Amino acid sequence: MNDQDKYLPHIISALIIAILPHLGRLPIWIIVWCTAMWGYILISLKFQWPRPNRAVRIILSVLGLIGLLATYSYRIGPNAYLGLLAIMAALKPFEISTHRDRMISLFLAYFIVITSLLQSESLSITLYMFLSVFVTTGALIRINDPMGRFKTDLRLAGIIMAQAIPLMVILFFLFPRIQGSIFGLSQAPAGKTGFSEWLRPGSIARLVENNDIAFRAEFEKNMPPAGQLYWRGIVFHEFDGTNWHRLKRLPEIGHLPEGRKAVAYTVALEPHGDRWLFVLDRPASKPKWTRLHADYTLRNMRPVNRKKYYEMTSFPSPRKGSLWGVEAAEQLPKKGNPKSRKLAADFAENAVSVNEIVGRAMMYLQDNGFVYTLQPPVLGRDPIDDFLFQSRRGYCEHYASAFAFLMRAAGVPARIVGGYLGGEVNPFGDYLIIRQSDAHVWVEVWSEEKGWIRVDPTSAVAPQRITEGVSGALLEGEFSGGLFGGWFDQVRFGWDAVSSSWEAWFSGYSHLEQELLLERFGIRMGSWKGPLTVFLLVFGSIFLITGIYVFFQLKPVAMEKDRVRICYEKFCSNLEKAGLPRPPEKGPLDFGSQVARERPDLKPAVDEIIQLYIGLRYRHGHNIDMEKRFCRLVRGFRPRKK
Amino acid sequence: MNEEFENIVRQISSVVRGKEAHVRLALTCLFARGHLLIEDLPGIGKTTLAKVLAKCLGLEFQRIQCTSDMLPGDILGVSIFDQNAGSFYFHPGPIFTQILLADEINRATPKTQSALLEAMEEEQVTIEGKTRGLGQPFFVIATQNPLEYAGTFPLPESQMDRFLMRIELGYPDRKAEKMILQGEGAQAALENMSHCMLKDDVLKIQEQVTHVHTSDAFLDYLQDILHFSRSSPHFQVGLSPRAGLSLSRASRSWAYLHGRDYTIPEDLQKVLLWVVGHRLRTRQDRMEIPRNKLIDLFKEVPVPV
Repeated sequence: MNDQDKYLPHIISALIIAILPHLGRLPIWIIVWCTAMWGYILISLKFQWPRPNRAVRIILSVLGLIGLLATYSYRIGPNAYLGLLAIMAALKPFEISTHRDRMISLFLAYFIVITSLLQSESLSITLYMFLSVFVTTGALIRINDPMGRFKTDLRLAGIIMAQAIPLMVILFFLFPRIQGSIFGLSQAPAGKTGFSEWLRPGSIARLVENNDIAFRAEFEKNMPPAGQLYWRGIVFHEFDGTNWHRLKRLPEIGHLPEGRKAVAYTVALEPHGDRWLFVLDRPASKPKWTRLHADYTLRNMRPVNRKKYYEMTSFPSPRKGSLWGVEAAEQLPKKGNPKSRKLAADFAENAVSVNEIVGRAMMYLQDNGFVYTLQPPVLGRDPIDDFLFQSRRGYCEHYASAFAFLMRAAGVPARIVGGYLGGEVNPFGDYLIIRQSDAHVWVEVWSEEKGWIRVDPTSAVAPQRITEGVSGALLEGEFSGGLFGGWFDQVRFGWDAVSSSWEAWFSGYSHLEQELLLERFGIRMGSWKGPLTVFLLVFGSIFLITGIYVFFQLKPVAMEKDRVRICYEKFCSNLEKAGLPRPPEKGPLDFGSQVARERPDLKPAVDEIIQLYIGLRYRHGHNIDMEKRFCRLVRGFRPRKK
Repeated sequence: MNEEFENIVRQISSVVRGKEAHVRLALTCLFARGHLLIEDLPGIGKTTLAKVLAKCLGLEFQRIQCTSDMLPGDILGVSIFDQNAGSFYFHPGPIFTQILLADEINRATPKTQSALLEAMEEEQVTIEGKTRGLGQPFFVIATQNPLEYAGTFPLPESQMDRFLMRIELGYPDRKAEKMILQGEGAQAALENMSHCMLKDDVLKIQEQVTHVHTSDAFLDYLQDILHFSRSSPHFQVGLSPRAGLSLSRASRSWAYLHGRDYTIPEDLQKVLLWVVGHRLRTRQDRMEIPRNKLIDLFKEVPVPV
């Protein structure tokens, strides 16, 4: 391995470590491409294989670009730029021959490290970025310090990073925040998971296998009992015979719901690309940038493309609310499902209250051998009839759908509510984790006395679903989660607690929070004075810290009382003012003769001062009289500019 | 300026025309007890310089023309059996002298080279188990032709290190050359020349050079230079501590010859290029660094105030 290639392994490892977090976002062929290029270089180092020449490199670049265009033809977004970076980073080591190339490659690695933030701002990525920066800095020091050992280089990299932490903290808090995400690119989630605008049999069941986190909720005081953890997200009013739809136009709520035993909590919602927010039934507050609708659903002003935090208050046992939606909740298709209509008519016969009808319907579901399962059979043209009288196997949406149909047919206004039920308590952080698999739908019916009341038909079939979650309620072998128990759960919960509080803190610090923080110090961002103050504050504190550091570093020199040095420096600065600066590489004698050559008028004075200086500085022993004389002469030496 | 020294320089320059600076360096090297490597083309005046130095300083002179069939014994000497006396009689080689000119040292085989270089370093030779000291002073001037490669054995870097300085004489300038062409020839001038000093004076000066004071400020500068050569990305390998010692010795000698009993940064700057030129290589291609590049590079080291 010759001298030029000595650092290739360092540079390539820095690049690999930098690009690793993007593995999931890059197409397979780019990953193969990078592996092949880097692999070839590393192997060629060992076996002295030839390096591709300029023409081959150009052909490879063009091929890479063509591949990129083919992959991302019309979707030129962050992923396409990332792909370009990866392709070029894979080719760059081929042409490394000078120190400059090595530096460029390492700066490329730094740039790729920054792009990790496009991926996510989670704790794991942040910690990983520290590792990447550490390795890249180590490599940077390595290529500039060929005599040193890699171990000491890495230690120096660690020290440099530790020294940078105060600056990092200052910049984090004070550097003006941009509204929106970094680089102005939105972090749209890869694919929408969770709810859609309509509900059909099977649309919830497919979520059960999805173990992704939907949101986390932390309660201010006590958590409500498991039976009350209904997280409301979307209400379906319209039924077309097969599917349920939400109403297109929803008015805002007139006045906020009231009730007993308010529950206060904070929700950290994972981005899902839609606008609805999940709240505990029944929501009674309206955070900034949201809208509370008349069907008690909360919607964000804009699609939730970044993690969203909001503080809420809810009433698990609400007072009677508004009449809104009753009319829409009575609508039924004109035809279809005749058997079910007949059954509903039976329920309604002689019934004195809504409660009685609901009770009869629940009894019916309980007594007729209904099974709660993830694999219901396909239903025919009259899905409600098929379900109620033939298959009798279904998931929550089947029960809710059938139940709401029965109620409407019996003349009771009813609607379906979609959301989540329950959640998993994280013992470390004392908060709830709600996953996609907790998705659930239930029914609300209207009674004249109590208003909208919640009825969960699933509870008639599988009461464990409400108290124990999905895994407890399903048939054996249907739920694949929970393979690992014990310590694995402990680690999982522990990590989730740490990383979610990190994200709440790190991602939650937006420009709004920054303004609040600055306002606490009396700085208002509204006027021009505010940003200026922040600017001065940021750079002032950076200079202060650097100054303190430099002061302590230079202290031994600065503290040493060296009059000869001080006087000579004064002498030099006097000459500099007269247009005769001392080149740093010039010794006193050469400098003296240079001055004498350019300014013969100064020669006698300069010669004497220089001779004294040389005597004091380089002769054996120390002569205090000479020193005094020297300093006196320097004080008296005032050359004028010519 | 040291009057005595100026006198010597003037005398030598009257024979070796137009090479005053090189004469100064050669004397500096000699009084610093170092050895000198002259790299130049034939006919430039290397031999004349060596002879004049010997004559002027009142020292013995020997010359060996190195060839590839030369054996260490040809330099160090051999024991010959004397039939009359019935015992071995040591026949000393040309190395037992005070100024030795080793012409075209890169033509000798590595074995012979290292025998010579070892003798230079230790100032003694061991032949057939018996150690013999060399005369004092002992000063080697080796020459090599930088352009010839066929049939040569270039000195390895570790052995280059044994030479305190390396200089190139170069062509004389026009004026000096005219004087050479007009003159009677170096041989005659050499014969007319008288001693400037005696062997004991040379030893005395060598002794006094070691007492030249190097102050902390000077050593700081020297160390800055060493550190720079080790940390700069331009050099393949930095200067060794031996190179540092050589720099200090050469600076002291230079200071002494200029009439000072202490060194100043200028002394170091004057000898620097000649002391480090053969010890540094570029990182890129391990070639020697041109002198003007070296000057620029070392300008980056400021003189401590």
